[in-house]
Amino acid sequence: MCTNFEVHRNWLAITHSLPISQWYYEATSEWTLDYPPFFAWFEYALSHVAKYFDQEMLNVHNLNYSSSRTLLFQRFSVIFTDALFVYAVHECCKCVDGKKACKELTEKPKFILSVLLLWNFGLLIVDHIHFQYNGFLFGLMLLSIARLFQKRHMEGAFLFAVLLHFKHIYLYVAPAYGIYLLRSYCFTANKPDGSIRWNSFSFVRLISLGLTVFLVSALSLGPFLALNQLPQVFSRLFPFKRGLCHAYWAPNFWAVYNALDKVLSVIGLQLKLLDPKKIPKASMTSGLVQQFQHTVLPSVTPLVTLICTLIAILPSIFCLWFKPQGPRGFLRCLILCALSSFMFGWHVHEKAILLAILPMSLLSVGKAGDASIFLILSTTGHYSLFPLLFTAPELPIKILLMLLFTIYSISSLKTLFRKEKPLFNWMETFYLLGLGPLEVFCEFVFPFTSWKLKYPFIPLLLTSVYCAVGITYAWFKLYVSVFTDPPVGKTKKQ
Amino acid sequence: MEKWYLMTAVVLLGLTVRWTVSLNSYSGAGKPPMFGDYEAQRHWQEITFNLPIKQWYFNSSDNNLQYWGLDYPPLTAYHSLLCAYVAQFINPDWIALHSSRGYESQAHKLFMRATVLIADLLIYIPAVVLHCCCLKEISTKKKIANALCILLYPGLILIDYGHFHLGLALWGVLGVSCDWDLLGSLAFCLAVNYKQMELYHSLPFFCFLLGKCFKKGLKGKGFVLFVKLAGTVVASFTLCWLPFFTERAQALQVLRRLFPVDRGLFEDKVANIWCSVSVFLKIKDILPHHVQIIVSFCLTLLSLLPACVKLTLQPSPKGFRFTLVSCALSFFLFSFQVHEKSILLVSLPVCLVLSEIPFMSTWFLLVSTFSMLPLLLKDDLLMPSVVTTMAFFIACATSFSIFEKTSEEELRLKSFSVSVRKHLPRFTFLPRIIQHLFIISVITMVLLTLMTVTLDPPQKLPDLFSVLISTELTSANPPLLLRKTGPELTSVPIFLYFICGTPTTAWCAKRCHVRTQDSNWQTPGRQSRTYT
Repeated sequence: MCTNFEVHRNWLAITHSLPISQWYYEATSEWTLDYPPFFAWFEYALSHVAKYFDQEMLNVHNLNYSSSRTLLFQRFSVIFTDALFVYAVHECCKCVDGKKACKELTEKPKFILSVLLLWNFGLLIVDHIHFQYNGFLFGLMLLSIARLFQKRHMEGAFLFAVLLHFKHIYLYVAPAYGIYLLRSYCFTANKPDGSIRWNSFSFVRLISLGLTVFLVSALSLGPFLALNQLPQVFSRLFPFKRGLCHAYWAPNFWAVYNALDKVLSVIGLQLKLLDPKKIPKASMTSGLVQQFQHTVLPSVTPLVTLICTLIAILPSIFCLWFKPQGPRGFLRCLILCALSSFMFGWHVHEKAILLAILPMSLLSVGKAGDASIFLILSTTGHYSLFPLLFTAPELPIKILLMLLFTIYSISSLKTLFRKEKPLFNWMETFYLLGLGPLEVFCEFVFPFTSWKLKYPFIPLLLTSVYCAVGITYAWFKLYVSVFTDPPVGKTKKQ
Repeated sequence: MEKWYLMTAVVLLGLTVRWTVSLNSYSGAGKPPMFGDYEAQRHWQEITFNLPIKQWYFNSSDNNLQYWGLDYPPLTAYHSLLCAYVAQFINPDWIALHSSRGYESQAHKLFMRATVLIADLLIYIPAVVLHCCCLKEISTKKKIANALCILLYPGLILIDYGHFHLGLALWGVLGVSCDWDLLGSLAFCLAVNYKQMELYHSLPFFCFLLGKCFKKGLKGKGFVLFVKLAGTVVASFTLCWLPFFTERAQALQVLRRLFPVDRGLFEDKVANIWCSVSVFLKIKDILPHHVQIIVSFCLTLLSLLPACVKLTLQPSPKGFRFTLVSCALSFFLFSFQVHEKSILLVSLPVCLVLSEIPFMSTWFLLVSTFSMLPLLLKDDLLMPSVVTTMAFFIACATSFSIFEKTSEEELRLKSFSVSVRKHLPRFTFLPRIIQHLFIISVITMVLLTLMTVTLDPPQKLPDLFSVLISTELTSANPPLLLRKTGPELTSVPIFLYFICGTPTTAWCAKRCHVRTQDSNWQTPGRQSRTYT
């Protein structure tokens, strides 16, 4: 059973059987509560249903407990909370303008968008096979985006604040929200050339926004502030003691960096330039979260990653401020924030790529250029999730689901934009097709070669480096398109 | 085809559903000493791999026929042999003679599932896709929807074993209806050689081809065609049976294994005539064994004769498909030694007419899946069956909008109601009645499922629920039969079914002996994804 299942079971037990003052101190299991308070309350609410299924799973000391009823309850809880996600998708589909008159239901942008979101491969395997509650959290995010599209800014801000207190990973995209609300909601008017009109600033709006966010935070963190536990809560939420990369390397900049380091050290050993005794034995891919020391290249500290992330985010923020393009511009900025932090963040999990893929689906049905970025991003991003499912029975499932989603997304978007130029150039096509041989090599060829014992990390390394290339490319392409696009949003908006 | 990608998506979806279902438990998992069908398949691999071909069907010290002896035709045995070679390559323990009995492990389960999936992928799925592409007079969208529904049919997915032969039969239907007569008859012969149950379908094939020959004129082209067809059939049979023709005893022994007439009239609870009648009359005790055989044979023949005669005189692909349904159904209801799983042989042709009479077919397919519930519960397959049935129902309901197509025209009951109206002028409420019947039957199914799962059956009547289930199936059949060949041919059986379908159930349960319902069900875990 995957660890995430045990994590959530443990949280159910903690929140159910302990007083609130103990929640963030409990450490019987290594999987301590490291989500913000709202999520803890959510688990608390779930535990009151869970007790009718199996009382035993609510015992804190019952580590690695699993029964068929526990399993049933946990799985069903995910499916039921997914209802929110479905509702959010429904709302998002309303925001897509159906200018293109198609008679066929299956060729309507709305239909395609709903399939892209509901059948999202990553979400399916992370939530329903691997086990997490991402569906409902992403539901909140999509809902808040939809509210911003519908010009219901206060609601959007409220939903996002709530979301932040469910899972703090969404802090990555908070800059986009902050700047957009400030620029497009607090300033009520623009000059004719699109630049800011300073005297249109509305204090009432700013204060009401601030109040909303403050109230939500107070509700969430207030009890812990009263108990004087805030530092403990924060130390649990931001565990900088973990390594630069997660157990499986997320396909980001650091994966390439680490791979380079590894290759250099191997070469160095071969050429006798390095002393074998000085090389740390720890292998990053052994499956446990641990520190990793670089052998050749300089080691990376959390501060460095923070600075890199900020630098990567800044241009998109600037763009959002100086070249506002309405909600679509905001959405682009949000995706860029998510992608940039994925590229350079500290201890990024490969699941975090969903944070960029799901909002990107919204953009993809609007414009051919975005569609092509989305396809590259989603295909490589989803492929990088493959190592999450590593047992043999899961192999056909992941391959089939991946094929299902990829074939559908590529061909439906191609049909949607058939009048425009092809979505991929030859290089991109070649790259995407390369994923096939890579999978065959990693899953079917490599286990039978003699390298399996000597270099067990090679499939993971290849996967993350190969995917890192694609994701970096998509990131660049999106940045370029944000800067070079003519501000069409303005004319469309008014 | 411009919508190829949707078709691919449909196929992938079908495969995904199949694989997720296969992660669940299997027949006879962890239940020594006999285990279940899973063990039977594995045992066949063991036998075919380790013994010379002459001993496959004979009882010997190495081959105990009481323990899942081979009782399928040669092609099945060859297939097992093929799988056994692969198994030998992966892990010889899986098929070691004697010592591998009851072998169970995760890896082996994976291997067995993979063999089914691969057979499915190679035979059944291409046939379904091709069938849907060959359908005439409907739009591409409808074709894809049709493929989706057929591929999602839960009964087949859940039983998961007999796939291979069904696939071949489908190829046969396809070949014949597309005018590739030789290919079709070849495929069908292979199917018969894969599983003798396929004989259920043989009569329509024969009549249809014969009718075609007649149509072309017996003296000229028709005769040539006839000779060609006969040649194909003989050749394919000879090829399959070649190793067994060396001795007379061999061939006879194989035949004896294939048609075990010494078993009873029916096993467990089967939703057919005999089981229903035995509520009133204990036929098993009243009539001697050989008389039972003769009676069942005559009744079967009698019930399928009209449809076959009609097909021979007026051969058409459409009539052919309908005759397939009715013949298989007659066999299922009247013939000797029927197993619950045989309903699949009826369901398959029903799948073929799905696009023509969506309402009735959906109803039938749902009920047929439901009729296997006791079997599925025994294998711990409740959760996947509920999920797949729901998915199937939703797929059918949305792609054919079944509830709007219940006019007399669409139910193909026009001629029937017109003829009734001659005597009863106010007979116009049939579609409405059928609609209500459908809803009632669906509700009954849901309730029965809930009851079976949650309540322990009353001590006195351990089989109450399974009998209820089989009754439900029998009572849902008549409307389908009603419309299949026209009113003049079916009026007799209909009344029979109605009488058999509504016996008082409590009384009925007293008379049944075998306990098939297992209340210690558990819910499999992996399979918890709704297919939205």
